[in-house]
Amino acid sequence: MNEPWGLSGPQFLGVYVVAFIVSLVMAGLFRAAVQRGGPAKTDAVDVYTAAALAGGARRVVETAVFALIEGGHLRTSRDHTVTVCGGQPDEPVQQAVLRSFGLRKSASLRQIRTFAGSTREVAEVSAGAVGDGLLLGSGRRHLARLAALFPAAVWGVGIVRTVNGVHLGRPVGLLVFLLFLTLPLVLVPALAPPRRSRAGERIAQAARRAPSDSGRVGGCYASTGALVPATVIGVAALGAAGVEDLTMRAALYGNVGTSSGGSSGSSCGGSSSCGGSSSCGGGGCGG
Amino acid sequence: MSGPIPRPGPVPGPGPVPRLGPVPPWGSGPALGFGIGWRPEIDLTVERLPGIDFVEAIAENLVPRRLPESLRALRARGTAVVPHGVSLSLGGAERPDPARLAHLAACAQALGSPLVSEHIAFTRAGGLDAGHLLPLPRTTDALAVLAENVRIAQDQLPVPLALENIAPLFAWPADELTEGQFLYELAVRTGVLLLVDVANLHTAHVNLGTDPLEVLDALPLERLGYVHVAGGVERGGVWHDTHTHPVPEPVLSVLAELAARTAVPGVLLERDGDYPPDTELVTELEAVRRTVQEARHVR
Repeated sequence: MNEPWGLSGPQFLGVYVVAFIVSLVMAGLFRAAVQRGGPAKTDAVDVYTAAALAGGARRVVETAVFALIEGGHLRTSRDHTVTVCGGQPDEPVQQAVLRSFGLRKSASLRQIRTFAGSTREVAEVSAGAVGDGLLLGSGRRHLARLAALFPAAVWGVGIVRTVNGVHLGRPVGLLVFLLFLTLPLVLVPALAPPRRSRAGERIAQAARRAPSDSGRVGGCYASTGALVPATVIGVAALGAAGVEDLTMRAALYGNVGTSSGGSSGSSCGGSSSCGGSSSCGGGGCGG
Repeated sequence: MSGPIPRPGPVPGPGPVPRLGPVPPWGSGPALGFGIGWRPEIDLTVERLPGIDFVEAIAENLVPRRLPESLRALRARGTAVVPHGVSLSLGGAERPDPARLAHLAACAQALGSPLVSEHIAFTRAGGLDAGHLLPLPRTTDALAVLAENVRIAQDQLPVPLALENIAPLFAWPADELTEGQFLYELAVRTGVLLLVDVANLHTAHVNLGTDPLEVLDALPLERLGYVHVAGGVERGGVWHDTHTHPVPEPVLSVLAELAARTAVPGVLLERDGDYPPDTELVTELEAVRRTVQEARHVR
């Protein structure tokens, strides 16, 4: 009975593994309980809420950009540049995305995500989804982080056992290895709490399964009630993978998730038939 | 330039524009159809516009060994691509730069182009680059220099060359030839094709008082390569050939006059900025097409 805590090294390793698995199950149940808690909207959601559920503010902006391209207010070219064509959409999120261009005539999708992602209209989409119980608010997300305490407690016991073993001059190599192995499973629940509620998960899954079913998930604009083209719903649900036109997908997103090339290889030096100036400024083109 | 440019009176010298001799039997350029200027900003749009038979790409923006994917896609579906040079400076006193000529030739070969085009202008002299297409003095001496440069260019190019009348903001004093006579002489002496920019004829009309119909009457229409159409804007009595505005009615009228005189091998819409939605481009192209087709009925 000289074993520390009455357990031999191999016995402690077995107990640790079992206890860690049990702690993970408890953490999962805790997270699920947090996700389930509170009332949630269950009827059809608009396209931007579907986008926010699938990919957050970034996806909301992408959806609006694609809708603006479909509506002729923006165009994209093979060098991944999105250019303003003019006109005003009657939908507020799209208006916000266009407004975020400011004085710029063109930008990359990455730039648009940055400067349109912080607009009030885009933020309101996520806030609305939180209000509807589809996305978790910051309070519930912090609560969900507490799920990490279950595996953390077991992992902490492992640390104490290691320190004790070192103190007694016992071999602790396998235990240290196991602690390293299980550390990510402790950190993940703490660092990546769930974004969606249970109801939000169900809607996001339904959108992924049938992104082009315009009668269901994300089939309309909340502000105008207008029907959303199936291609736009596809972007809301799946992002780049939702753009069925591979050339358009490569132009807008680059080569991510495409099999066809997206780089134009263009060596645009800025010349035009305007005799070297692409802006044609005051004097006209001459050519 | 400050203030409006004074409009000069009629060019002294010849009254009615004479035909200076028979046009040698070189024949006209290849049939091109209807097209639009290809620019990287609207590459996908151009690829997807209906009824586009050919496009024009700025040669200086191309690398023949690394053509833009969009142009390769257009070529693959049989759309002709015409390299359009802006920097040969054929009207300059210096001989054409061999490197620029070789580049234009390489673009034509890489694209399998039926012809290439440039401008009747000079862009540099004495080591200075204007960065703009400048008009030539319409004198017999300038014509001789231009014709020699054009012959040099033709010798280096694998396909026919078409030359475009530019949009003048000013004219040199003491012109000896009208614009029509100048273009006629150039075509007869060199066999070069003419790229008639009807928007530039309108520009010359507003800015210099040139009668576009007189120019059309003087042209050797047998040498017509194709036609440019573009929009512009008048500010302070000066027409700016911006390529960023819609094509105005007077430009379409000049196009109609030209199409009523001859079978136009090709008509190309130029846009170089402030690109409108695709639907507006389609509408502009339809207006151009309708203008030509209605003028054909008149003919």
